[in-house]
Amino acid sequence: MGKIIVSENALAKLAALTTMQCYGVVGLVPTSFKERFSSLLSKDKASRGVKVEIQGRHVSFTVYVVLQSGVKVSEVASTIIRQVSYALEKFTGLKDIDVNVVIKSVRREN
Amino acid sequence: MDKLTLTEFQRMFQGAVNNLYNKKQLVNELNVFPVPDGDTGTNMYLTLKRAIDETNKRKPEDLRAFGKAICDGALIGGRGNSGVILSQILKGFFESLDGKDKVTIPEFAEALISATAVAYQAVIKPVEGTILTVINTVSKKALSLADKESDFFSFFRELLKTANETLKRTPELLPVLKEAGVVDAGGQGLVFIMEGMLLGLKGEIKMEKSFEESIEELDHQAIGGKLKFKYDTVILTEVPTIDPDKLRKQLEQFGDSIVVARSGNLTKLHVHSNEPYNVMKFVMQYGPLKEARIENMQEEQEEFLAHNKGKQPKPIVRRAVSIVSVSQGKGFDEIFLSLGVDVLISGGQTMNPSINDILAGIAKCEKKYVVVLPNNSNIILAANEAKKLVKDKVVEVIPTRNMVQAIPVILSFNADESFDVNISRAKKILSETHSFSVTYSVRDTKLNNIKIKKGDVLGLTDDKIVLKGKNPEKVLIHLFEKNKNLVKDYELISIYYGEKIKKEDAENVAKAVEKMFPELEVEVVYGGQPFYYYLVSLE
Repeated sequence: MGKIIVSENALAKLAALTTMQCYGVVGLVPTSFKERFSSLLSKDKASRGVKVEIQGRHVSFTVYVVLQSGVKVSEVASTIIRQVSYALEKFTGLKDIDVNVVIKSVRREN
Repeated sequence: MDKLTLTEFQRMFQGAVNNLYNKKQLVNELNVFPVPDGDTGTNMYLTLKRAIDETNKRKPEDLRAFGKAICDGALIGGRGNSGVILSQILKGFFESLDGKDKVTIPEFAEALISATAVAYQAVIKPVEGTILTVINTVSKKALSLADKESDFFSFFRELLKTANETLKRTPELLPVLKEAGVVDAGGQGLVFIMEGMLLGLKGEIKMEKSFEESIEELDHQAIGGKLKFKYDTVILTEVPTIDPDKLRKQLEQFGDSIVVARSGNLTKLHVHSNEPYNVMKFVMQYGPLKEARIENMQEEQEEFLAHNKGKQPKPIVRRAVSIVSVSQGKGFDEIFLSLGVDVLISGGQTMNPSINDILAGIAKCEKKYVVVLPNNSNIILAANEAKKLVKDKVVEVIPTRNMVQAIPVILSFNADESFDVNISRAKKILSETHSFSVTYSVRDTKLNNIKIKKGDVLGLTDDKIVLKGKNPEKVLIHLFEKNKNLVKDYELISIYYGEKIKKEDAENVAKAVEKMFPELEVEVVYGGQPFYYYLVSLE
């Protein structure tokens, strides 16, 4: 039997795309401090808003997001956690997953 | 009717929350997207309920204050994805109506457009085939009708028709719905809200289903507490004309726990009082009694207290840790308490305990070290979140996926050893424990290449569906046959039968299993769990 290798980058991308579909999320922002604080990442670069840490079989994800103001932050965050865990478990079979959400900013209502 | 005022809005929202309450289970069963956890209906209901509660608390005198109360309530009480979307819809809707006392049809249509805009603002890439699609098409339809319609009833009926048509199209727009053979749960919830609004507007707020449940809850509260009023009275009467709200007010002179429900010509009412004869006399001035039932709650209370006193099982071992366990079913509650679990959190397939429920459970524990057993794969995340929020205690979550896995884990704790040693042993034991379960499907679907119909009996090893059938006992035996090689390496098979299973049937299955594995010990225990016909642990 051969091996299947899922790269860190693929995991980040999957987490990013799932996060972008969550209701209440208006975008991801870069994980690093150097880049400009509030610049929303475009869809192709969205995975730069996800930090992936792998320790043995345990994978921990941290997504850096901007939310729409006026939504209930705690519920949106827990939706992100649930949807990202669900998507990763479903697509990759990973079982031991942690998802953390960092809310970097809130977008003013138009 | 060409204008809506505060009164109509109050009736519409009351109608919406009642209708959603009656239908929430149907919505739960549709829930496959974004995460199939079967709680959309409950979440939408609780969100709307909290919004209505806020208006009851603030008693708004104009439409602006009413809208503010609804929006604040929905925001604070927003539960789950669908609850958050609902709160945005309500926000956009009432923002547009701000400052108006009377709302015309064109203004109502504008408000729906605003609701749609605000709801879509909060998401980058809206997924179509959801509640968003439903509100979108409904608002467009409203705008196209705005100049033609002059009556809110026919306007509403048209909108409801559009909403239903859109709902039917959701499987075409969202493949995951089509695959599971369902329409979108959130969209269905919105349709039920609109349906309830129309019923409320017509004055047909249906409460039949909730009447029995709400009086049961009130009776339970009364019996559990200090008994102020002794007699529980339920009266069915034909009073076609009297307004339920007025009747409710007037009944307050006799006692409390008042519930009044209307259905056609019949009015059903429930009150706790010390003078049931006066209640009857009072009701009879409006119309003849059809049925009346009076119960003395004092006796029930004494029975209840006596029953509960004898039934508080003492923990058998003193442990260095407190254990919080999610439980479902009478039998399991008792098993867990007898094993020394400190706090039980009741949990279910559709009503998963929230992070707050788990935190409350942890707060009740006396000891500094707390172990949480989620006993359901859907609750593990919430338990882990709760763990992170606790500052004054050391909390560990052992990720048990069902109740039978929890039992060997609980038994493994040893007060003489350190918390860390206990936790790592518990985790090891969990990884070595296998479980079978037999349950039924709540909807048609396809999983692991097995086509499943609603009502089919399913056999699972650990968390995987491996076979289906029609009879729970046959499915269970089939599971054992299929896993012969796995089972024979264990020593003890414990079979916990659920609330729907007869004891004899469970014992017969156990005999058959004993024959299959003569060298193993087989025990049969009443679990009383709902949803699962059988849960089996291998140790």
